[in-house]
Amino acid sequence: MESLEKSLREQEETNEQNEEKENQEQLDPETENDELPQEIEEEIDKSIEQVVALQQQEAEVILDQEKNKKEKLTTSRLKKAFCIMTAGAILFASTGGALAAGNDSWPKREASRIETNMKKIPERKAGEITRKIEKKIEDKIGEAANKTLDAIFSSIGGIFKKTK
Amino acid sequence: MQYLAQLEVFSKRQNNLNHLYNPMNNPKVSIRELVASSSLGDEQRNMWDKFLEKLRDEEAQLVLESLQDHSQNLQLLTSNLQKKIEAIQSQDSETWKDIIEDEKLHLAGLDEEE
Repeated sequence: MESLEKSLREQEETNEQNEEKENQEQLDPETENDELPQEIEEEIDKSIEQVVALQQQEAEVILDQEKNKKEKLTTSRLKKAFCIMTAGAILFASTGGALAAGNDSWPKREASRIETNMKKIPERKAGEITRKIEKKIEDKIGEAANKTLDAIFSSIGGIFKKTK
Repeated sequence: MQYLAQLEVFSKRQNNLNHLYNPMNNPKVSIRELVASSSLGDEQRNMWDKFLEKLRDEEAQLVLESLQDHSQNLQLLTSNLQKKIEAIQSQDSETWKDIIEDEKLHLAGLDEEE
């Protein structure tokens, strides 16, 4: 009987101890979670810095690409503008006398000369040349303008030869 | 930072679209305004006026964009057009070659700057 009582008491004590231990274990993580270990915090900070640096690098690359694209576009647009000036100059010439402005001005003085010169080119031929040039400009968009300009010059060179 | 760059790209695209679909943005009108507010002489202004009459809108748009790229381009393209007309008028192929050579040099200079 005594041994049974003793055994029960021991069991009870063990249970109490276990309960206390469990309670302690449940409390401990809460108190520990308030502050992360310094190593982990440093790791997290490091990761954040890396992510930010990568994002900045990516943004810089995108901005550089945009800048390069813009610069290339600027040159490309000027090339095309030169081509259009060529086509415009020929259109001017093919319609003859369109330059006439004020009295005794450079266009006025030259207008009759253009008309005389351009009459040497049949109107139909001038129209064909203009269309060819326009087509070439359209076709050559995106390619080196020098090639286009050379091609245009060849066309014009042809006119010079034929009219001389 | 990344989002700012993306926003900038989106904004540019939006501007391009606005430009395409906005009938108020007539390139010839814009070029005439640029020419009118420039220091070009009457003869040169008249030349631009006549020149624009002969351009299609898409060509005028390209010229306008180039003029907007750099303020010096108005003087450059005016001189270029004037010289080309003179070369054709006088049927002077040597002058024409010089003009084309100048264009190449100018464009090469831009490429180097880039």
